[in-house]
Amino acid sequence: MRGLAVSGMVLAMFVGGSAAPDRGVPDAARDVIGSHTRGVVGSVHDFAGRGSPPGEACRTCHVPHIQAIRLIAPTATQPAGRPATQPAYEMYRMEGQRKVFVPNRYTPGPTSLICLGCHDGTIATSTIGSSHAMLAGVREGFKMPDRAVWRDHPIGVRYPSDPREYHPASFVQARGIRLPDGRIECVSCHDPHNETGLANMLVTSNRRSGLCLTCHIK
Amino acid sequence: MRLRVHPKTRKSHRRDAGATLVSGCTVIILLIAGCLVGAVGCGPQGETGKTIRGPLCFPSDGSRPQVWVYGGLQAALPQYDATPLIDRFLYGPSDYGKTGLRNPQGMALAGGRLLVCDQGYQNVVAIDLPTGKSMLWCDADHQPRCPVDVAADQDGRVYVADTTSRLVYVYDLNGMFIEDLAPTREAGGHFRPCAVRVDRGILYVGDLANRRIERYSLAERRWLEPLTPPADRGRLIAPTGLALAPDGVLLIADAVGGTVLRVTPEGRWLQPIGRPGRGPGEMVRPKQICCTDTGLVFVSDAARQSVLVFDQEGHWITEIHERAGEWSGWTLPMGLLAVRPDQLATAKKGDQARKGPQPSSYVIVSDSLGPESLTLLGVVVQGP
Repeated sequence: MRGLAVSGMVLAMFVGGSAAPDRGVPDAARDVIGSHTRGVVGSVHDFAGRGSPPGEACRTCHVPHIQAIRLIAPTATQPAGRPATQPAYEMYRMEGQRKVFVPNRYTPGPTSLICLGCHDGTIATSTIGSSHAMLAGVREGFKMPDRAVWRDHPIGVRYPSDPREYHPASFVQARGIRLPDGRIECVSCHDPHNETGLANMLVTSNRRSGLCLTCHIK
Repeated sequence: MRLRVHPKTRKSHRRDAGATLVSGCTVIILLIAGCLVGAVGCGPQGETGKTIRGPLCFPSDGSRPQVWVYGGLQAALPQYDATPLIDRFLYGPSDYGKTGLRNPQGMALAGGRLLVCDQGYQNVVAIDLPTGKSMLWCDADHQPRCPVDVAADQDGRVYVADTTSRLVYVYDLNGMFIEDLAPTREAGGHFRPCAVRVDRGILYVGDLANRRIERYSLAERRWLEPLTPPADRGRLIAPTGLALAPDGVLLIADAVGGTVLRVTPEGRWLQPIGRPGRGPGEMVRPKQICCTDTGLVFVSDAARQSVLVFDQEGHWITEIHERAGEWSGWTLPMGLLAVRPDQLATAKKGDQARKGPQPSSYVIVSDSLGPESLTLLGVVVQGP
């Protein structure tokens, strides 16, 4: 529902022009857009400069959404396996980004690949080798040794089902933790839109280990 | 004092000696057999499976130029294995002595070695092309914290861009530290180098913090006026990839802007290549770029998980990506390096290229997360 609202807003911005960016947008959708943009505009994720057209801040990550309103005519050189037209809308995935899950291995999902496309040390801070040290969690084919101590939280792992150590997935999701495809990804702990305005873009406050204890039973 | 040996004991000693001789011979024979088995590769192999079924051609309609995907580069290099003999006999070939890549990014050729920036090691991994041996390369006392790109000049100096230390490290061909460079160190300003290239005595540095291309004169040892595109050529946001075309035009991949900017040696900005989007020839997250001797431009796109190919005028030719049932493709393609065939003379490219025409140049693609760290592409421009 939220996705529909966002796409509606994006469509409205580009169909209606920059003079009336919110024309025809329901109040509920405007509220969603407001909460989304509040944490993005002016943040480190906002690459738009002053005087940029509407949607510029969103386009850093959501290029496909804006391009989705344009139909692509099939050409003679159309790559095999590619759609002739743009898909309508995808909330978390970019067209072409594939799931690379490998059973019993740690691999990031498509939602995390969007983050890692920049957070590999080039455009943004590295989550691979330095700040998060999630090397083991992101390298496909890497097997974590038994009893190894994680230096940081893994991604691309299925949410554990051990009731002695972890709350049930339904309990966790009801408290705002996203588990795309039942896995722990970047968006499980971080909100790229930073709607809560918390430090490090956390989905909920980690005061007194609140975020950790949403999943972990200690 | 002289010990007297009981006759029975003496006999027992003779029998033991004989048994030892037999068992020794057996061990030697088994060792030789083990070596032979290991040499022909019957022992346990690494966990990386085969990710491609034979060379694949892009575009598949047979038009030229075309790009052949041969699969992993390291499989084409000589297999260096420092596994002790007894271990190889007992357990087969292993990764002992090898420095397998973890999260490779930018690459360069220097001194017969392929230098690969690796986020996982926070170091540069040097792969010796004649032997296949790889090693951590940087001076341990001056190791980069986040190496993302590397370039080498003709004088044997190697430049490594470090986005965390916010410095360009300079090493010699053996990885010994020489100096570090930063244009705004004295002024206390921001500098975040994310791409480096050297051409005609100028070191070009993609500066993410200031959204421009810094220039450093190697002869004069001073920073020159930076390059910033004029307003009518669009903004430069994240210059994460730099390449030099054969005619000296500097190509700049803007990872956030979703386009490739071009500037001539005289400072004239040309029409950009590509535009942001998901259609043919459009880009979402173009990270790095390279240009072959024939002028073909390769752009790695981390969001499309593919490599796009353009001609020198910027016309889109093809997109290299996964092919169902034949190739699993890249996960986060990053670094690109164009190499001449003579620079890869030791690679068993002839075996891999047997099914296709002989390439005029090669391109190596690094995948920061995929199952195959380095992928070898062959570029065929002319021919039937």
